[in-house]
Amino acid sequence: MKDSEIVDLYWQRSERAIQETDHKYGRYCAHIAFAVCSDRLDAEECVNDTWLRAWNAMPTERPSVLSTFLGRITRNLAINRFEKRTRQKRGGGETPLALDELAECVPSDADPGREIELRELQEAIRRFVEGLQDTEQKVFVARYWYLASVEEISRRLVWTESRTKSLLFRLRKRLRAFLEEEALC
Amino acid sequence: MLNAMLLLRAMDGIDEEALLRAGDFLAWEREKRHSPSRRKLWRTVLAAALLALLLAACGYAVYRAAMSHRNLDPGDEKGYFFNGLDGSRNEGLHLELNFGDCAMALHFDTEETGCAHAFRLKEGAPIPETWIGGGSSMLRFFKSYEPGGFKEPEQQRSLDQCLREAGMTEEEAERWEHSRTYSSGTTAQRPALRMEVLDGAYLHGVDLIMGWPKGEATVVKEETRGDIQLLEALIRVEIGDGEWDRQNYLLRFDTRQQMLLVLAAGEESMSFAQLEELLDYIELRETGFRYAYDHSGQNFSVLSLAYG
Repeated sequence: MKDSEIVDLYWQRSERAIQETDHKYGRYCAHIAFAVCSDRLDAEECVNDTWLRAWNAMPTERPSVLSTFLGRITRNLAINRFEKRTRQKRGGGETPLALDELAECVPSDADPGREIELRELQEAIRRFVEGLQDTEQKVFVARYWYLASVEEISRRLVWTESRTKSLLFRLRKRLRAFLEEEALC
Repeated sequence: MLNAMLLLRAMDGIDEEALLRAGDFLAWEREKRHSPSRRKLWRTVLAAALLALLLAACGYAVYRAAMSHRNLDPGDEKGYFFNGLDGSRNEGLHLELNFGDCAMALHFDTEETGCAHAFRLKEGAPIPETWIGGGSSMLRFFKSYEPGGFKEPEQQRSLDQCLREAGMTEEEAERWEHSRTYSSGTTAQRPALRMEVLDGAYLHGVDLIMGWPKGEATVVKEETRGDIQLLEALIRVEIGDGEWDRQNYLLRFDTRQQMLLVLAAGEESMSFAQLEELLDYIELRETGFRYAYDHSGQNFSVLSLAYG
């Protein structure tokens, strides 16, 4: 079923919208949720919550790209869940690793949470990613939006893991320089 | 931690197009699912089609390019590189191959799976046991989600369980799956010896010769023994920023079974003669564990076909 047809179902308040969404994007959202949470039950709940959010959002929203619309919801839900869980103890999986890596891009003595608006940072990230070459962009987004493992990215690229790590390292350095240039950290 | 978390959240600023491209690249957006029998049929049909296409169109060029002694120069990828894959969203797998003057684009509207093989060394193998490195458990999660929830039975059938079913002891399976041992003399973090078994749907050995974009490959020997083809190559690969490693690669391809066995050892760890000797001690078994690569099919048997 086409995305527009699924969106129509939401607008018609048909429960079939959820089934069709789950059928088409369930695995996609499950991947995203699992990549963040590293916990199957949490991931499953995030996916279910995503359908609920989507149900509540449509109408009034009419997303042009349903996959990323849902993916964004899932990712945010999963990050919330991860954050909540790690307040008690640090979890495993890709998120802590990605966080450790991203910590290189912000100075240890700064607190961007207080100093800048998240929106400004988002806008800067958007421009940074936009300026990357195709492969760089795919690798960066795969790692830091989808939280795909280095191993998976390497296999997709038919590269060695060390090469992927090396590229990610360079990208993080560039991101840091970019954020500094933008006076965001 | 908090700062990095904010940055992680800020990644949500990335625009739709970039997300879609990366989603395609990861193939996380795949929606189609086929039954195992249909998948198997597809796989057979596609493997045959790919074989025919490649042999007909590229065979000679590939043969000439790959079998002669040659070097791949980091700055001269043009003639020899394997241009991986570019999954088109919701449209299956799009594969582009470039060998010398020959270029072709293949398109597959299917999912592919690969079967994991267990292997072990028979008694008396001429290497220290501690050199046996582990394989990767890979994307086990891929098959676990079905519309309506996670599919438990599939999820619970782990690779090490399959390995045990294939005849390995628990200890062997554990070691096969998880351990990565390194020779003490190696400065770079690479196994002293690495073994991989790759079937038709799961060949990434292609990059060893055809597509190491930043490295060199020198083919030093090529030999056919009935259904078995051997290829030996000295590979110089980039393992980090400006860091290089030299390894001896032995590829043994069974044209009948469509299965590639890759042995890779540090140049100073094992010679080609030692790697060849090792072949006689390797015992292979199918495990029944299937890798599910959503429309990546990314490891199509290009190399095996090239030599098949």
